[in-house]
Amino acid sequence: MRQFISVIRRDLSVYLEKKSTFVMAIAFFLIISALLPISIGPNLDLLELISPGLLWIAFLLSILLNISHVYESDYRDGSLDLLILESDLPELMLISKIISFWLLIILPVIIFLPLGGIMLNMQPNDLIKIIFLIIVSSPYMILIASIGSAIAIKMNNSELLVTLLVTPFYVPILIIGTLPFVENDILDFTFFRSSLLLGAATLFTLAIIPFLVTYILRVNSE
Amino acid sequence: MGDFTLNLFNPNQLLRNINRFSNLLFFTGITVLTIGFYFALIVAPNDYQQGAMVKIMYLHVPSAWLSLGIYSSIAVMSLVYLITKTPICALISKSLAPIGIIFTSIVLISGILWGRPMWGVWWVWDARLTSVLLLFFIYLGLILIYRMDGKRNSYFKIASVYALLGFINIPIVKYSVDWWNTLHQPASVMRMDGPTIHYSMLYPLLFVFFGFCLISLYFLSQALKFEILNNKFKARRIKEKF
Repeated sequence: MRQFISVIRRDLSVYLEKKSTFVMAIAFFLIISALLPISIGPNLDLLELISPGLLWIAFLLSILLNISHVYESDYRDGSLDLLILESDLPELMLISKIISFWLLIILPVIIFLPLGGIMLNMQPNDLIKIIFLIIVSSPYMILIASIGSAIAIKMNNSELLVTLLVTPFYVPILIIGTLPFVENDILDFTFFRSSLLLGAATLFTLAIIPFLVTYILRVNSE
Repeated sequence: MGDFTLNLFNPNQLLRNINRFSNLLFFTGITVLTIGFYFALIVAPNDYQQGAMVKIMYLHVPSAWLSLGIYSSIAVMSLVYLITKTPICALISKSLAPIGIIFTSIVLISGILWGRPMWGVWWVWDARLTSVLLLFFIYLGLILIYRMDGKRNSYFKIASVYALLGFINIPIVKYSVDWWNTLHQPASVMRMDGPTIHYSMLYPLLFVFFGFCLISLYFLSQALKFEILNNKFKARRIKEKF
């Protein structure tokens, strides 16, 4: 447990040292949520109709393009081997790295979600619901992205490959996450049901993905 | 039985068998395909609603079966590879992945061309179509992982893990038409209570399917031959270096 907390503290100090990382993440998210309405045109009703999906996409992209901070910089300077592969509980170390990533890259983006929602002309009622859904499913998204990041760890500019590798696994989350906000008569998806499903997905991945990622990192560092 | 499978997975034995049977495989496949397409395009009746457009089915449906079947065999081979560490299994799934993506793209393209006159749209975002598109992306990711040339085939393990992860999608593709109401029609051949398609259309379909199977087996054998020889070549070059 002491190891666990010390890894989190170390990562937080690393992130705080170069403040540009989370400022960049927030700026990227805000730029996307500003560009999407511009590309759609000055139709506010249309924008309100499709804003939940746009907010999800903006959030997803800001995770995918920042995921390299979790392992890659540590892999470059060699500390990943010491931190994860040499420790007694590599899975726990991995979760601690993901927690620190969540705290310093994703939490700032989540704090700025309401601003993105305003840019996308969302109703406050929907905005609260969608922020809740995003918070519930963000561990899932980070864990899945970390698989791609672990696979492509040896490559330079791996963001595109990571995006391609993990996109198929995001589609269910996108469907479940946006269905409560669109008119659908096929599946009666309420907010409650979809938050339960997203929570289930998060817990399921939390139980399985750390082992997978440890295995992949081990194979990669052989 | 055990001896037989061991022989089957022995690279030298496999190479010998490939050299012996690949021509036979190719010509049988071409013959079966020709017979199948002859029956499909000329003998089989037109649909009373769709007219001649129904002929796309003889390309669309067998490729769809094969795209699922090939992915399932990739997953099985990856599982066997992760358990037994037999390199030939990884080589088989590596050679199968491009064949699978070809059939998946045939399914997607013929489906688009079929959907326009029948449904009035090129593409709908319903469960079956979306899951097949995801299958295409998973194949693409798998091929990209295999293409990352690592030392000592370390990428084989990673690709196998990814293939097993992607296998979650296969039951979704198969049962999407039963679980959800989609524009795509439900299964009419591979059903528990027997096919609901008329035999005059069923037999050409099966012929084309078996023709595709033989042709993809031929492609698999050629790709496998290349992979085995390539690995032997690499091993010899390493030996000569020392």
